[in-house]
Parts: sequence; C-alpha cells; structure tokens
Amino acid sequence: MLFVAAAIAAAAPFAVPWLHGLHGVDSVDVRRGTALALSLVFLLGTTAFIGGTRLPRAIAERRIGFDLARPLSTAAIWGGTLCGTLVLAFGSALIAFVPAALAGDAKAPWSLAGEATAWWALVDVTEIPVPWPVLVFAAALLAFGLFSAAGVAIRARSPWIVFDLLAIPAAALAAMYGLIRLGWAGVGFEVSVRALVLVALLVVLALLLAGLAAVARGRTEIRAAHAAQSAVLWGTIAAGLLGLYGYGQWFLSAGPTDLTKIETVRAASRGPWALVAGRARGADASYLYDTAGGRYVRVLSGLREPIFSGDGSVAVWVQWLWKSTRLRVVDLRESHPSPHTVVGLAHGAWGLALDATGTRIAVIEEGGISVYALSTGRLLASARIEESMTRAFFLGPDRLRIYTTAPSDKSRLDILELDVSARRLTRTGSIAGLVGWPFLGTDATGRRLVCMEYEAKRTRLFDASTGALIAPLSDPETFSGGFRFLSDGRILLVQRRGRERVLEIRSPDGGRVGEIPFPGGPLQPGPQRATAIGGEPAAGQLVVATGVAGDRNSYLVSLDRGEVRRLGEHLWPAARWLSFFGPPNSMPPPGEPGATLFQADDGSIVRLDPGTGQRSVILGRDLH
Amino acid sequence: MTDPIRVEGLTVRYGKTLACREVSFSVAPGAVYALLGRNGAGKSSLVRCLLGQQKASSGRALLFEKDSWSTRRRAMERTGVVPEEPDAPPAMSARELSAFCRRVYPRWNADAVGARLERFGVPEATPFGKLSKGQKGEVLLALALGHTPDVLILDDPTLGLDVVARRALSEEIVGELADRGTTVFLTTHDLAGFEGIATRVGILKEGRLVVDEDLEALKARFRRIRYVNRITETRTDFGNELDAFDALRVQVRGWGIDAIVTNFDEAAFERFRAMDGVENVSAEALSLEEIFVALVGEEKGKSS
Repeated sequence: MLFVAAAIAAAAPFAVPWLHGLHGVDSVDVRRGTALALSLVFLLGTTAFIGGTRLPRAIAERRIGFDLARPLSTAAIWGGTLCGTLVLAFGSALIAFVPAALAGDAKAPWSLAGEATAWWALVDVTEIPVPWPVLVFAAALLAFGLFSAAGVAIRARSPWIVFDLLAIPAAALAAMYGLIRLGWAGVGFEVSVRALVLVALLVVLALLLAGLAAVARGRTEIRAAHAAQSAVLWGTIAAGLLGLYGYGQWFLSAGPTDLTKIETVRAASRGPWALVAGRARGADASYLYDTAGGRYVRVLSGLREPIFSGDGSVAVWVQWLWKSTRLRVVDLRESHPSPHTVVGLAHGAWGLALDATGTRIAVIEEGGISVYALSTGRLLASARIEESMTRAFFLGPDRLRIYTTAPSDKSRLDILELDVSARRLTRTGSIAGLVGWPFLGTDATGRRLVCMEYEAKRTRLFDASTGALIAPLSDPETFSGGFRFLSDGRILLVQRRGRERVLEIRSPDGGRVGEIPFPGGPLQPGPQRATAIGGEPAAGQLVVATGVAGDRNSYLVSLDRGEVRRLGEHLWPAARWLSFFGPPNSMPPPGEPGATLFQADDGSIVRLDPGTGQRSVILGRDLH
Repeated sequence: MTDPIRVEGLTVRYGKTLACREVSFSVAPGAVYALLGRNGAGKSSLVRCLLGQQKASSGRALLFEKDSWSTRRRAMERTGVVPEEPDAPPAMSARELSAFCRRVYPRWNADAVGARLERFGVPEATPFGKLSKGQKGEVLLALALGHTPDVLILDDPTLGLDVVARRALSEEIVGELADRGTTVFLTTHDLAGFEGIATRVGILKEGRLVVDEDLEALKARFRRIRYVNRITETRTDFGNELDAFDALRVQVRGWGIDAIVTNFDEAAFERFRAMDGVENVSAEALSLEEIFVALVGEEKGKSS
C-alpha cells in the first residue's frame, strides 16, 4: 500500500513544472527538487508513523505477545521492527524519487540530493568524513526513535510523562550549557560543532536504546515499558551530558603548564603578572600568570584581552556568558586570586580602561562610555558618544580622557574629558585632517599624544588635551611605523633612512636628540620583518626585537651610548608597544619584571637578565 | 522428572491493585492444568508472567526449572502458546506465518501445521486479518503445536468461539495429549469443554489461589446435600446438623435445605442421614462448573 502511494506520488514531480508561477524555472531542477522533497517526506513520514505506532501499540494492546511467544530475543523483535520500517521507508522514498531521477541524467539527481541536504553544510564545516546518506539514515533513525518514544509515553499515561516533560527542557538546557561551556573553555568552532553533532548522535542513540529497553523490560506492560524507556533515555542522555561536561572540564582544568604553544605573552606594567595565551589540550587558553610565584587565573571566554591596572594589582576582562557579557575582575594581590563579576554589560564592550590603581573602570560601549567602581560595580558616570572609534584612559581617578572620531567628519579626532564626580563631559580639543584610523600613544603624564597615521605614513606629536600640533615626527620619506614614549618622557621612533632603519630619539617636545642604527641590519626583500619595541630593563636601556616568525631576535640598545647588543635568538619581548592605543603606564618602568620577560620561539616564556645574560625558563620547555 | 511449570509466591501488582497474591503451584509433566477464575481474577496476568511477557512484582514463574522472565527466548523453543486474543500480523497468511515460524524455531513441522489447518478447514492463503475469530484461534493453535512443544499454554482459547470451533480445539488438544503427552496449562471459562481433559484444577479468586488439586479429588469432596429438617422434641442441636461437614453454601428452600459441602465422605454422610428429624436426604456429585460457581460465585454462609 505504501509503495503504491509512493509510486503514485512519484508522478507529482512531473506535473509541478507546469504549475502557475514556475514558468521560466528550469523544469529539470523543479522536478528533481520536488522528487527529493517527496522522497524525504516518504522516508521521514514512514519512519515517524511506524515508529510512533507499531511497537507502542503492540505493547499497549499486548499484540507483541505474538512475537514474545516465539523464541525471539527482544532485541530481535525491536531490531526487526526497525529494519522493516527502514526497508519500507527507504523503499518508498526510492520509489518516489527514482522516476524523476531517471528522467534526467543519472548522476545529477544524486549530487542534487547531496547539495540539498542541509546537513551537508555542517559536514563541510566540521570536516566530519560522513557522507550525506549516512546523515539521512541518522535522521530516519531519529524519527523512528523519537516517535516510538513519544508513542510509548502517550499510550502509557504514566507519571513518567511528567518526568519526561521536565527532563526534555532540562536536558536541552544542560546540553546547550555544556556546549557553551566548551566555548568558554576556548575550544574552536570546529570542536564545538563536532560536540554538537556528537550530542545529536547521542540523542539518536539514547532514543534507540530507550526503544529497545521499552520492549525488553516492558514487553506487554506499557507502563513498565515507559518506565524502562524513560530510565534508559534519560540515563543515556545524562551519561552523555556528563561526558560532555567532563570533556569541557578537561579543557577547563588545563593550566599554564599544559600550554603546548604559547602565542601571546603580555606583561603587566608593574609586578610579576603577565597574560599568557596559547593552545592547551587542543583549545585556546588564556591565563593571567604570576611569573614569579606560578599562580594563575584562567581567563575564560574573554571577548577582550585582559588589561592590567597601572600598578599591576588588578586585571579586568570582558567575559561572554550565556547571552550576556560580564565584566570580570581579579585582585592579583590576593594569595589565591579568583575572578568575580563586577557588572553585566548589555551590549558588550568595545574597549576598556583601568585607572592606575584598579579602582575604576571605563567601558566603551555602543553609543557611549560608562565608568564603574570596581569594588561595588556601581555606575559612577556615563556619557553618550555617537561614534565608532573611541579610546580612553584615566588621567586620575576622576578624570577620563577620551579620543573619538567625530561623527560628522571621520578625519577629525575629538578630544573629550569626562569629569566622573561631576558627571560632565567636556570637549577640550580636536585634531583635524587625519587619514585613516590613527594609532595613538600618550606619555605617562597624559599631556602629549603621538598620532601615527599608517595610510598617510606620518607621525606627529600633539598636545594630548587640546590637539595642538607640537611637532611632526616622521613623514612618508622617513616613516617606518614604530614609536613609544620612554620612561623619561623622550620619544623613540623607528624611522627609515633609505633601505636602512634607525631608532630615532626625540626630546619630550619632539626635538631630535640622536639616532641609532636599527638592530639586525638593513631591510631585506621577502617576508615583512616584524618589529617590537620592548621594555626598559634599566634606565637608558631598551629592548628592541625584529625578525619573522621562527627567527626573531632581541637586542639591548643603550640609548645614551648608542650601543646595540644581541640578547638572544628566538626571543620576543613580553612588554611591547604595539597596541592600537598605548595608554599611559602600559609599559613597565625600568627594573620592573615585565621588562625582562621574553617569549621564545619554542613556545616557552623566559626571563633574561640583560646584565648577566642569565636566562631562566618561566613556563614551557627549557631547550637551552 | 521435574515439573515443567512451577509458580512460586507470584504476586502481580498494578499500582495499588493486586492481580495475583502469593500464588504458588506446579504442573507435573503430562498433566493438563486448568486455571479457573472469574474475569479479573488474575488469570491472564499469571499466564503472561508464566510466558515471560510480564515481570512479576514478587515471586517467580518457572518454565522448565528456569525463570521465564529471564529465559523466555529459550523457554519458548519448547512452549506452544495460544493467546486469549488471537493475534498475528494481519497481512500474513497462515502459510506465511508457518514459514516465518520455521525460521525462528529450531524444529518446525510445516507439514503437520498444514495438515491441522486443512483439518480445521482454514484457508492457508488467506491473510490472517481476514479470517474469522474461530479460524484465527485455530491458526494459532496449529502454530502453537507446529514445533511439537513440551508445554502448551492456552489463555482462554475458546473465548468467543462457537460450539464447533470449541469442540475442534479441545479435540486437537486431546489428540496432541494422546500423541505426545504434552503438558498443558490453560485458563478457561469453558469449564464443561475442558472438564473431560483437565487432570488438575486451580481456581483463582481475587488473585488468590483458593483451589489447587487433582480434578477427581476435587469432585470427590464436593457434594450437594438436600434434606428436610423436621424439628423433634428430642433434638437440641437444631441448625447444627451440618457441623460434620464444611458447608460452603446453605440455602433454605420451600421444600427443605440445599447445602454444598466441600469435605464429603460416606461415613459422615451416613451419620448425618441417621440424625433425628433429618429426612429425605440426598447427595449429588457436582460438575466442575457447579464447584467453580460455589467457590467463587457467592460468599460462604447461609442464605434464604
């Protein structure tokens, strides 16, 4: 009867192209598409219908007694029903599909089926080597198991249905939370999708096992069948979810010593703490790491890289949690630092700024900026700023300097100050005629501002408050793209002299003081060599690094004597001035631990004493 | 030789309702055990437990000395089953059902099945769903005997059958017994139909097994005693004349007294008949149906 219905339905695709509104569409495509849809309807409809009626009805009405009275195992009874259902389902699907397939070329319909299978995209993304027929087969199994379980539950009318109804959303939420937790743990999208597929397969497996249990343990008692079904279904799903949680926990429990590849090391300006990020157990992992004591704090699901307060006592980052984002703060002075949520952010955060002692934080959000007290999470002040590119730093606990691109003129940078206690926003100046988005940097006092424009290939020194030009620092002839304020207020620039590069030292007001040949020789053709201006291990000494990945070298430059000494191969300074915006106090002053911390190309973190050359591995393998 | 069927302290509970309470009995090899009881007495629950189709709340049912719940598949290799409601895949004919059974039973005599169906007059090519209820029952009986089982279990097999079909079914069972000495366990409401076949009887009343004994012994101890009681001046025990018997039911009729006793014996009866004032005494044997009605039909006591 089913096959006859499928055979009749198989004629429908040939009529569809004639329908009004489909003129002009390729009739072959319409025919094949209709046939594919029909075959899926027959496939899933048949498995759902037989799954929902055959065994549930047989158990409820004790018709299964015929099978149970034979020397057949319950697994054979259940499996036979499943196989019979699949034969009917795939048979009818094939009958509905084949005529349209034969009408075109023999190969195209199957490729069309592959393309039309929504799962295909998932397979493509996850790179799971599962052909689409297997996924269609899994969908058929899911339909059978799902409707069989529903059929038993509805016919049993037992109290277990209350448990089922409660367990469905609970399991869905638990699965969702488990998958989100994987995201927090830093696993990549592919692993998350694979986990999602595994969860889906687990549901299919659980439904099939539950159906088997309903027959094996219930036999002719529908209520006992429902009880067994629910126990196995939710037991299996619970076990799977525990596995998912365990899998997530395995990632979450990874410590800094599990990092196999350290990709980022960024030292706090003061104190022993550094941000260490890389890959641990195959997932992205970020830590705040005490390079002196070995303590660490896992940075979970950080939407933005953590920032340290000027004194290195507090770190803050934005964490994505469920549907909201939260501001997480950790007091690094505690013996066992533990992050806690300060405030929930409705719209995320585009940027953060901490004051020097870590008592207040400014959060740059969509359409404005808000200042919170870190101890209480209380909103102290907020201002509406309608632009897309805003950077800010604290001049003091109550004064926030804000640089923002003018809404009406993208080439103008407005300079604003937010008086936190008075909750008053004042425009103090502006810089006009900018080309592209500038890189900005301020000195420790917040009085001078270096503005580097990559597109215009120029660097200029401005009054940080009014935007008045103090001095041009580089032009397209000399521009090379690196600068930093030194701890004594002088400005260091990486400049070009023909094919050579030099470290040019400027006075606080922009006057030329001198220059030193850039370490590592002239620019070579080939891959762009990166440059990093690192910390100052001692007053008048500066770490500079250059090279390409896998071949990077750090040098110690004596700024006053103009001497350059190679510190070591394959080293990259952990404190460096390369951020999009360098606020005051973001570089370690001379003598701070961060100035002597390096990231080695082998993935380890080392401390190098520039004076003695003594090198010790802080984290990772010691290959030297 | 061990008893192929044994039930030990079997209790079946549906929520707060007890279908069977601590039922215990056994069936000897070659015996025909008829389990009787009113509707809802717990017969079908007991049969399902015996077939391993339902798990007992407590106690156990054994087939061939093994727990039938856990060894159902093996037990079914040696057991033939005719269920209360004759049911099989409706699209399959008797011949196809026989072919299916040939694949699942280690030994299967398709010729014997065909011969039985021919004897019953059941068309082998007709789909099961299109057969009459009597024909369905006959097909299932033929299938139940197709693998020459050691034990045959029939759950009210004559329910809804006409007289001809009932007789055909009981004759087939008798024939099977005569041929092979198969142990038979059956539940039935057709007491007259199986009275001549059963060797032992169990009676379930509200889930309790109130009778479990050989049919002949049962019938020997049950009698209907009818008499007239004339009061005399010498009698001081009026109303207590039946004390020597266990009277299950005593009814005062216009003509005298009608009593059913469960422990009849000739010596006690002679003493009863000789009692002063007891006249027109007669004792009649009871049919199984009358015994059953007496046991489960009314409460014990005197009525008028």
